[in-house]
Amino acid sequence: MGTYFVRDDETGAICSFSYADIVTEGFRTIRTGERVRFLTDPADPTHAIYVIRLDLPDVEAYYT
Amino acid sequence: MTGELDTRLLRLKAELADHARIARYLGLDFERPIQSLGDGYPENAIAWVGKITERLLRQLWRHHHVPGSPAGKTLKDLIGGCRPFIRSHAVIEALADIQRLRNRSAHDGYQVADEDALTAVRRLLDILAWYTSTGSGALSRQAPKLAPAVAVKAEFVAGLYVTLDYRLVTRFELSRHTVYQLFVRERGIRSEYAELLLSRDAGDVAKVLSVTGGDLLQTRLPKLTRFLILEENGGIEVPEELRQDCRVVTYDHFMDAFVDLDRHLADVAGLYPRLDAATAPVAGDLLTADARSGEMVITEAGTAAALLEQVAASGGNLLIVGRPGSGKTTLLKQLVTSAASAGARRYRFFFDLSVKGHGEPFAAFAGRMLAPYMAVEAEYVFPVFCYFARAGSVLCAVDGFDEAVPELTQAGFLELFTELTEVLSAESAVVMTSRVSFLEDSPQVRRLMDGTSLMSEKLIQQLHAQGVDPLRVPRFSVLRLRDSASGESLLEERLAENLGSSGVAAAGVRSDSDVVRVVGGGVLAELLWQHVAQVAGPVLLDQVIGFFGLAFLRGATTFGMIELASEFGVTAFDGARVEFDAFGLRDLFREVDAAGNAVAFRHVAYQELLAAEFLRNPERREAALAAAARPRLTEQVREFLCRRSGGAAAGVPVGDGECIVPAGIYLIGPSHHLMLRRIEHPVRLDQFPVTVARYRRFLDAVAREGSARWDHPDMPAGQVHAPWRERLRVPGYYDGPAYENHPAIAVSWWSAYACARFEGKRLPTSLEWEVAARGTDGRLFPWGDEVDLSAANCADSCSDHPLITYEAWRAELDRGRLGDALPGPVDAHAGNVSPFGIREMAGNVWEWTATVLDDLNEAVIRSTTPTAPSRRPPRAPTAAAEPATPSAFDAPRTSHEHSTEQVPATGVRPPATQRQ
Repeated sequence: MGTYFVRDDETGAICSFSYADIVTEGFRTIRTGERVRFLTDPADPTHAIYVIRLDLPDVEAYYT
Repeated sequence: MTGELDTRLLRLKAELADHARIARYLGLDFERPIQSLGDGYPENAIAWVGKITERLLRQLWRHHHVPGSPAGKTLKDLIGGCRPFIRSHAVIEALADIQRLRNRSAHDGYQVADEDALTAVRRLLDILAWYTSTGSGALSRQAPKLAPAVAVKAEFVAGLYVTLDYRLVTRFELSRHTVYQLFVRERGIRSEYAELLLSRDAGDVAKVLSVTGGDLLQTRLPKLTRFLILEENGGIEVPEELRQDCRVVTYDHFMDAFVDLDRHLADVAGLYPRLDAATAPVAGDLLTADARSGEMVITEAGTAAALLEQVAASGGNLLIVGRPGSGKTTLLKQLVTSAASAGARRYRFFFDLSVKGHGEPFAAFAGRMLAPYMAVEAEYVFPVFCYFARAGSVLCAVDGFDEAVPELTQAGFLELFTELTEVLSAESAVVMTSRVSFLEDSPQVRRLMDGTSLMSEKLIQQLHAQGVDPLRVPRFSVLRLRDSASGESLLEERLAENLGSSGVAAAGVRSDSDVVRVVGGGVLAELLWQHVAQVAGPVLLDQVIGFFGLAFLRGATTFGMIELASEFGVTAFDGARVEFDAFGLRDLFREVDAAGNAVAFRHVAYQELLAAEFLRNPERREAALAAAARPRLTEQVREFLCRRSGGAAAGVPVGDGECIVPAGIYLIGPSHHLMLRRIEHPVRLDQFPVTVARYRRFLDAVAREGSARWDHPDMPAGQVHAPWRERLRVPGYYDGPAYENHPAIAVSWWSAYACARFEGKRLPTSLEWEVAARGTDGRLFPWGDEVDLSAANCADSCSDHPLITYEAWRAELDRGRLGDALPGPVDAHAGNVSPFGIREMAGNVWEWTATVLDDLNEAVIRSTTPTAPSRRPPRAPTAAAEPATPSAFDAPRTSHEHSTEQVPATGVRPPATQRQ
């Protein structure tokens, strides 16, 4: 299973996550450099959970 | 320093001196900002105002016992913490302005002007004036002469007058239970005075008057408003000198002098749905957030009205959720009108958001709705309502929240929440109804979803700028209404009774003896239709559809009587009287105001049905597109369209395994963003996805002749068309006959493009693909609107139950129950067929389309895979829910693999040809 890494802008901490942690609907994948919002796992602060993609295009863009 | 500035500074300095008591108590030097400005340093003046404001807020923080220490908190955090305790909207705005000015002046490169600093000082004065004029002890120590309860009440009545732009002239604390306040405001060249005497009872007042010899009442000021406000009546006669020109009220009824609540509630009760008709009690489940996990859990079940009253009495906020016609409005009206009979003095206001104009700000709408009931000038209606709400004495009932939401997304709901912030963030309770539940999701997901898109990012920033913590604003419990045991809603029950047996039978409703029961789904649409047809009659029916259907798509839901007479002619009115009572279609409508000047449909579902009927006609779809750049299309309109279209029979291939999608205007998009889009020319699509066998024929041809003539001109050098075998979970997938009838997978977009060209075709666009799957009626699934777990190869069918939330899908994945899910034969599900005869458009494999997102260097893929859920709330289609970005089937990858050089692929949607 592939692993993603994300850096917390405020703390600089690096967290890992898997595709299953991506909450945003659709195919669960993320590009390098993409902005996301996430929580950290209370049991493992180096693990990002509930990862949400922030830079998705507007719905109408998918129909152009 | 100019002479003019000098004059203004002197005036501000004098005004600041009026608040010397606050300055002394908090050890503040109000002259510092004035001095800085006078010395030519406006940026320093703003910095001083910021420091003083922080100091004031720290005092408020401690005074109101806000949890935590204010020490070291930023201005933004201090505003956020104190905001719930600030009753004045003007003070909140002043704080926001000071914060904005300070941020701006601290920004490199911004030239701070004298005017900026003057504004900052003026806004500081607005804050100080509030606390001084209301006699509040929050910012300065008060001599404990007044009893605390009296001090609170005096502050409340003073605050109301300050909200009306009065300022305090003088204030005397005459005894422990009696306080005198004189206010004035300038209206043009006129000065208006208001004199307020607040006391425990008439006996105390008489005592005070005897001591002062009645001097206080000798004032002869122009336009004087005089109030004697008593804490309790006490049965003692009010002194003669006060009875002459003074309004005597008890404190609990003081607000009655400004708002005619009884008339407001009587009008609410008198409008449809009337509350006098006997209705069966509706059952409901109360969901509240678990204190530890934050999850919404059912905490109580029972009669909805009792649960509602219980929450309202405790002051909590509540969202009532139920399907159309489930009785939400009736419940809400019962709640607000029961105050009168119960004798409770908690003020209850009712807002019907279904008649709010699109684009009309909530403040303007509320002002318009309340103006007939409030004895203040129009400009003060909303501020006074807000003041009452912020003072903690209002229950605000908001009906049809989802009908006023600009867009049915989390961001859309938050946008309206922002407008309602005035009320939501106050101590008052808010109860609202909605057909769409938007608060039941996982709190973690909700918390993050608030900022999912750029639009909501902006919204979050706006909330923060106002000092509101967006995570704290919508703290609601949820009351979910249940259908009756027989499955019918309140509206369906009413309709069935009104229509009688013939109409009921025509609507597909079964009648058992005297009891009418509704059977099957989609009956609401048929009952509504029967009712509309009965009332309109054959002569008017088409005109009714044309006028009201189009009006809904344009966002118009209320209609003036003149407008209706103009459309339908005076013959539509009995005796040519253009009045509601004489309107021939009145059984479908309700008056939206007591004056009867405007009407709306009794239930929004009527007009949504007419919009759906309108869209059933292809020519009228043209009119809908022409009438509005973005027609208003709700999920209910889509559902009615699908129901009323009766589930068109599946089309059949035209030969060579291809199907035709005709040109036309189609309903597409996820439920929160439905759209009408045009297909210019008929499109021919393959009946099945490209199989392994077909792809192998393509590979054989490439091996023989090369692929240059089929390749995309931009295809990177070195790109090959052989599938990514390392990504295959079945190593021999492309070898031998076992998987020949399975979909081609793990191929790139470049290969999908070339394969289509090899077959003399092209990839369909995302729009063509979705239209092919949903047909003319915008159905949720290729086969219709019903969930059918056996119809498609997706995570829901693998786990044998619908996986609606992320948590449900994740739990299933973590349990390993989706591990064996693999793509199956393309013809495995006979029922997975679209209205145009195209097979397997839901589940099994992601499919490439020709639509490319240039900015992201990605192409849109459609459908879903065996490990992904087939649907998402609220009932969006698998095939159209949300186009996804390309990726390899069932293969998590690092994001660098998404570059155009190596765009991985999943399946190849059947290539299409375009007929000219």
